[in-house]
Amino acid sequence: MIKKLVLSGFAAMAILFAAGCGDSPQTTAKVFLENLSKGNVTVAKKYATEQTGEFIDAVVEMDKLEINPDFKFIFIDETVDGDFAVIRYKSSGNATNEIKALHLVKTNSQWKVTIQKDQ
Amino acid sequence: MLLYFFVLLFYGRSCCFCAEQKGNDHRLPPVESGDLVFRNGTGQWSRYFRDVSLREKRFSHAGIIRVETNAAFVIHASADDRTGAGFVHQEPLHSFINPYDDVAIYRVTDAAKSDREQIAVFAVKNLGKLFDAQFDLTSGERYYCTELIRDAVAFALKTNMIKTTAVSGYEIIAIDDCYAGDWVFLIYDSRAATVP
Repeated sequence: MIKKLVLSGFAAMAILFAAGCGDSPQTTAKVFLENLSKGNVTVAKKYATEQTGEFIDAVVEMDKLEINPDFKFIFIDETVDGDFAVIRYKSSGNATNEIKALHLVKTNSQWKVTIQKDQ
Repeated sequence: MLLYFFVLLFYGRSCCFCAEQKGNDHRLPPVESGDLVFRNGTGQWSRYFRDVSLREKRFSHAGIIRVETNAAFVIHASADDRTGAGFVHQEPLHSFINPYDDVAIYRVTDAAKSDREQIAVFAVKNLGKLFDAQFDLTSGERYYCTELIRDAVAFALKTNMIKTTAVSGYEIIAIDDCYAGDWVFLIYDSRAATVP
């Protein structure tokens, strides 16, 4: 009985964790950027739109992905407009201390990083 | 009095045209259909587009100018943050170059105006085609910004003027491929801040 309860608890936690992935723009941005900067492309792409994933694959093929193991996401602020959000952040591994913006879109109740038009 | 009226009329029309094209600091010369416009974006992804250029890592995006009844537009292929799936679309030149500080416009050398206009005609024909986030030159069904320019120029001039760049074995049309060589000349450069 106790074993069943423990297993159920773990299952519930796993479901909650999975559901929690991408449940806020800030969380999504943080996980995406931290994984991308470490070269964990497969994980990063889970937090991005399909189009953005294709773009990341192309960047990797061109050997242009910049790896920065020291990257640390520093949240500045967020703007949410319905299913669209912009996260402003800084990186502790960024020598210029530049504030950057990351765009996100909500699809199937999950926030995903998306390439913005500002190319 | 009549002369004064015509001066006013001409001056008024010129100002309207300039105002349409003028941005915060960009004082553009008259542009024509088929001119190619380049900008340096400041977004999260801009550096990737800049970095594939081998000669000049300056611009991150490009489009084709189309002038219609005194209004200038840019047709370009880009990602779209609203739909998650970008496509070839048209927007006013003013919004394309603003708020970007670094902008340049090139025009095809030694080509009749009617031939240069065909560059814009090709772009119009391809409005709505999906953005090619894979940068795959073999797809044909999807376009990224410089791929659209290459095909439009080839269509108009009946010859392929824009070469590809190999990046780690990946063939891509870099931004600077689109203005390398003397087949185009500069008509506006924000760095020069003068109108030639």
